[in-house]
Amino acid sequence: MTPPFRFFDSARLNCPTGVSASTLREFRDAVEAADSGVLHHHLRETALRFAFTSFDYPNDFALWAANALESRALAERLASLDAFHARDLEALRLRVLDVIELGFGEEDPHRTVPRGQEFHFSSSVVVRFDLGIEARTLEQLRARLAEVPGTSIYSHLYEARLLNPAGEDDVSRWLELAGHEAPAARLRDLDIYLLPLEGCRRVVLELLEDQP
Amino acid sequence: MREAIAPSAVLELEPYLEHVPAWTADELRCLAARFKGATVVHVNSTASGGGVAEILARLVPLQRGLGLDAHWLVLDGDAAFFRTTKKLHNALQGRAEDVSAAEWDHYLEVNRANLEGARDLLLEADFVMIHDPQPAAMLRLAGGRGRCWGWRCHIDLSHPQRAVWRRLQELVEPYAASVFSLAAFARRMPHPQVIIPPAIDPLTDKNRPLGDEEVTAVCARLGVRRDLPLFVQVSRFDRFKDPLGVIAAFRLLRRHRAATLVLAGGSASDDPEGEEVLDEVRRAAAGDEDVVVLELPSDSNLEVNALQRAATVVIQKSVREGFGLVVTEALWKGRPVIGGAAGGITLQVHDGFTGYLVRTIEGCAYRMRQCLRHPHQAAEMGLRGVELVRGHYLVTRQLRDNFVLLALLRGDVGVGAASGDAPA
Repeated sequence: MTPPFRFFDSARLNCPTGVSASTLREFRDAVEAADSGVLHHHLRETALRFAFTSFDYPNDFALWAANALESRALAERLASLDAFHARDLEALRLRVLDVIELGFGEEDPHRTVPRGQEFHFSSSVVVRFDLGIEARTLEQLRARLAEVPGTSIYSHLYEARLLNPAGEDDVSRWLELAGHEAPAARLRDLDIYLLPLEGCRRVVLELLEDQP
Repeated sequence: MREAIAPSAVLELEPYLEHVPAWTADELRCLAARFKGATVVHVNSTASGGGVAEILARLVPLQRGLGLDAHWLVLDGDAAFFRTTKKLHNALQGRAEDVSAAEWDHYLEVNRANLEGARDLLLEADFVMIHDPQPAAMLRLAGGRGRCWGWRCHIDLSHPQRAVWRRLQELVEPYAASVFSLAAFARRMPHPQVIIPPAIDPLTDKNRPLGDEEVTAVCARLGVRRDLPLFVQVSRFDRFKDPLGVIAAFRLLRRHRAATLVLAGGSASDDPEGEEVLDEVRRAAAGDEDVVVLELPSDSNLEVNALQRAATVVIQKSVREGFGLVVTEALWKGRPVIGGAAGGITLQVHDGFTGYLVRTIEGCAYRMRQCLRHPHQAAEMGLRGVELVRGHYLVTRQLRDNFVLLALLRGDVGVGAASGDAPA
């Protein structure tokens, strides 16, 4: 018998490092020196932070390039770094640095952004906990996914892909164990990187809604 | 030091569930279970007036309701001490101030006396949160002893006067962590720094729903007319809030539209400069019947609520700001906010979405005019503001963040690494 799906959640705080950048040059140097936790925070946790703007740029680096540096070309390149598929943060750091240095040829790396728009490098501190909620059937899973916190969606669908050696999320793994191979496969194919949390929840619920 | 609220002051979560999703209670109870029975002592400098006192007045009873032994102590200090701490406050927010050696000595002396008065409670507590610079010397004066002490800085430290910051930095470095409202306020420190934006309580007199009749009655009592578009700025009479700039902007607006401006505020008990600024504001408004200056007692919560609800647009034209809880309050009431592009206002006023960010008197006047010219857009911005606050700036979120902070102070979790019952 398949064990029930248990819902976990996480509460987190942003932890500024005290390092900030007001030019592209400073930004590059800070990225090079940053701890991996800082890269994780800015490249993979953006979906957790509320924004009215559409999810045009899925990580903090791309958002800063677009909004503060006003460099759309740099923003586009930074946005195209898929931080959930690139599991090795050091390899990801090198790709970020390559992209920034490409920007040196197009932007003045010493141009200062307006006061108040500096990039503040941060990490995060996370407490994970069991919500005490579980689902034993597909129907229950749908119902619970509709009502758990967005941070729980993040834990099970975004972060789980990083923690699982095969890059699978918790929900698709459980679906497969429970014999629901088709939705499991569709869920694994879902490009969550471009979805804000609530958008992700909606898409997953629609996907499960189609199942018998 | 004295306890600011009675031991019987306890708040339960259930009434909040009318305003936040149901899972909020589950989440908070899961987190609180890790700290059941722990003693948490908050120390600040005033029991009333200003955002910090408002936060603690709700946070502490809620922590008690979730099983913590929470206390809130208020510093005792004389006028000279508060004059000095006001200077520190100004200098840390970038104003030129000269703090003499004698003033520093007196500051330390008052901290020492307060520490001695509550030594047992502070040194035996599981957690101590020291709020702002006024009591910041206590840990150093206690020889760095004490278990898990955190320094909670509510002010804008982004461009401090260097000499004052260096002195304060020596005092705050021994803490296990520092807490700021915005990443821009963080400094380089030898300990972890975290961001906890402050929050409002939807159940207080200042934020609970009010009927229009009640709003009208309060306005009538305060002498505020409602037959013209109404702009309201509620804040301490403090130069950082730029009340004179608001009057100047209003006068630019009035070349185009008739309107009323209300500048309402009081002086916190730890702010000796307030009277002086209030006099300047009164002189600037003298003879102008469309500008109403109200000095409100610190417990005027209903009045503030009514004024914010009566407003067509709320103004908060600060040039420096810690977080700006008055902005949060106004957004929660569905009002668009025209705010100075400073500190935490920039987190809350998303330009063109929940209001407008301005940098000049002219910009403020222009946006005031624009809100009157496009009332539907202004109304939509107000609706977005309510959802922004519901999702991010209610006290339940602040309560959750504080549990993460306690976990960090206790060493349960480190920066950049997760802990807890992670799924296998």
